[in-house]
Amino acid sequence: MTIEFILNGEDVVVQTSLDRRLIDILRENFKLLNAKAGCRVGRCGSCSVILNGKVIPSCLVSAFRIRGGEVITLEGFSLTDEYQDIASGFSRAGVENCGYCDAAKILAAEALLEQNPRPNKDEVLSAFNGVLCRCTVPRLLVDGVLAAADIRQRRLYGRAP
Amino acid sequence: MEGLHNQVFFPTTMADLFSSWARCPDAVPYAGGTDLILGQGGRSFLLPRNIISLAPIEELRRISRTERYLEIGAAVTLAEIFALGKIVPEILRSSLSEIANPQVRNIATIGGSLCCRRRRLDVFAPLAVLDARLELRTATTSRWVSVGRFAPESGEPLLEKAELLTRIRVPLESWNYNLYTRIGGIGIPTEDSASFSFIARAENDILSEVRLALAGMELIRDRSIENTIVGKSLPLTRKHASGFHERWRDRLNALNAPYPADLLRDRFLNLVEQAVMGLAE
Repeated sequence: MTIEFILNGEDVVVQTSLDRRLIDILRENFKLLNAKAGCRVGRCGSCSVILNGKVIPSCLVSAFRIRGGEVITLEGFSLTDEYQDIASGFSRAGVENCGYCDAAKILAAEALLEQNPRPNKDEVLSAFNGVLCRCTVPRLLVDGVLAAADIRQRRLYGRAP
Repeated sequence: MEGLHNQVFFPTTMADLFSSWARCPDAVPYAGGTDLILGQGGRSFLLPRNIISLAPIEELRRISRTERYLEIGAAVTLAEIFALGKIVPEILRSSLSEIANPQVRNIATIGGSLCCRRRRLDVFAPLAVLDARLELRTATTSRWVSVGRFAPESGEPLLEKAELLTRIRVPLESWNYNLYTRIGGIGIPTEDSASFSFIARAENDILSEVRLALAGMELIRDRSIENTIVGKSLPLTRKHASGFHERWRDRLNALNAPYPADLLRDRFLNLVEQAVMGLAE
């Protein structure tokens, strides 16, 4: 089947069988390697991407479901101001980069901040339910997301509310 | 389910959908797909041979609200319902917040959660106690059924051939007492996992409505037991509260069926006690 979709802002076409997972299409056809194929059952979060504006585990999405949609991977997201907010917040809090779960952590933070610009600690922890990597202690993640929220508010409104 | 695929239909209207279904009666409606691919950890999915994608149908992704009801299209995701905030009855919100993780809730749909054939998934118990009703449509007919009728105590959901769950109508009533608990570990539901829901309403310190359900491999609800404490003054006396608990114990003992198994049965009875004692304190 030929599937057309938008990938990181570009119109792309891929010839693939319907039963392939989005994660494999991204990694094998487009060589976008930031999303990792971890558990393949939607639990670990390492394959997170943004599909039509929502953060989803790309291991649970079959090829036909991306037809006509828009996919943004961490590679594409890293070119945005929103990414810079989160990267700066994480850096300020001392959240280390992790080769396994960066896509999961950063996109989970973005999904939360997009819906809830001023989350509290419990909301941050709940948003990271689907990120099973243990590279970072939860307290640092909370600090990182709260710092990112603060940075974003300053960027958008010139001040923290 | 086979690895070979013949066709995927992408209807954009309900008329298109039923027309595609008539041409290919073995096609399986596919919204989020999380239940169909549950636990498939291999490189590729084992998908139904023919698929009707529900994602392009705007009508199935619509949410509307009146003063009395919230109407949710069957292809609305669990995350979208949760994001509605306090409009959504508390017992349903509690359930949604505990299903899988936020990323999976962005894919999983309310319709898919109700149409699972193997068991009653977590949204069942809250929707059962809220007396939600479900719209089932074919190309030429439409009917509304209660959650309890749609999914009788055991067996597959009540869907006729070429009939689709299209809308879920949730009554918007206020409840003074809400207790939702998911029993069992995270991950793929097992025979020992279930969801427990209890809601109650009091008016002028009189208990006017009580509803309680357990949903796991089967849906268990008993209106006659619920009615035994309706009309009683609050706080409930110990006698009434323990009588309610005893009736549930007798009800489960009388079932004499393998479900619920001992562990789940004990946990359920503990939750019944916790719920009813909350009205006695």
